[in-house]
Amino acid sequence: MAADSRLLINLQDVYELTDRGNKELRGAHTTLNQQQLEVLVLVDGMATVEAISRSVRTLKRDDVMQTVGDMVASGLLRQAQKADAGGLDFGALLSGKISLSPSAGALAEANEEAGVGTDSLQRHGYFVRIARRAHPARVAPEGRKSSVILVEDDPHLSKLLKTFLALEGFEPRLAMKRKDVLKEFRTPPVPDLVLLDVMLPDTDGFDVLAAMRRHPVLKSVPVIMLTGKATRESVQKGLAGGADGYITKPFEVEVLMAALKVVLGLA
Amino acid sequence: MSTDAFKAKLAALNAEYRDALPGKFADIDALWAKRADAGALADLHRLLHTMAGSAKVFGFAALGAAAREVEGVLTPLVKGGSPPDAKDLSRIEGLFEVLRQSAR
Repeated sequence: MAADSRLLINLQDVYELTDRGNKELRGAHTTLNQQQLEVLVLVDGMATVEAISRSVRTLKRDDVMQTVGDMVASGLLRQAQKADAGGLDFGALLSGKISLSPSAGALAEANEEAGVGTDSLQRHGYFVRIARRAHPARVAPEGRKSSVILVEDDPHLSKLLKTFLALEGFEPRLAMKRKDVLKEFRTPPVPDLVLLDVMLPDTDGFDVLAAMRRHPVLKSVPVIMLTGKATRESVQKGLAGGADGYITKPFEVEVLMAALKVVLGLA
Repeated sequence: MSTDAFKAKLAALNAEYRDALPGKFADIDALWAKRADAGALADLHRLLHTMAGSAKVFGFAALGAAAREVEGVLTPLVKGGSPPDAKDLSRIEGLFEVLRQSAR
């Protein structure tokens, strides 16, 4: 069974989690072994077999192909359709579930950075701070301030951050729910940066990130995840999915502002 | 905005957060009373997750830590879709008391 299933696997094929695979990954209990779980984490949303085999340094490519083949055969993974290019219609931006599809390079970088974040977590408690510097710097055109969309459902935190952002010379735009996010994306100018919470009342920040990274206009807008989700898996998911920074709550406002400037290439 | 004005603004935001705490605890109690409903338990989990992320920012570090602990206990229940059993009940209600004391 396992040997046969390997014959079906091609390095360039893209795989995604089935419902059963999602339950195994996110449920309270799992029947899978460490190797299978590692592959599930890497596939979550979608990845090619080649990308997975580059990221799992402890396994040979044949072993990865074998594992993926076995997991397809047992209904944990399925071959994904090719991703849509995305349209300019912002209304369709969050209309469906879009999975993150990190490249091999993004996965490898995220693995490394998530490791640094995990060290930070162990040393400092509930705190991970990662910011990738922009090259070149993103500077707002003459005559307008840099525009920051803050996606945050806690009204108190939202108010505090709005005050800080304004003080630092940014133009803050607030969104608490899915409809607010869509409204802000539709409203010009295109934001210079998005601060993105993950657990929102009616959407998930990782889904918003995935939708942005597939959108022709929004894909290059820097995103800093600002969230209470501080597991290595979450940090890796955000960074591999295209986030430029990852800061966990509770956070220090000064640290957030410093990260924001780094991500914009202003520091 | 001057530094003094900004400090005053921060103090006002902290006070606003403190004043909102009784309402948050009332929401926690209401959701906990409906814990057999998976949706209510998920809402409670999200509320505690939010509190865990924000309380320390407004000067309530102990409250944030307590909220994080309850969130951690609720997470497997929400993911598993099962209501809390007698052991969970005792532990969570004990943590709610710690939560309330942390806000004082």
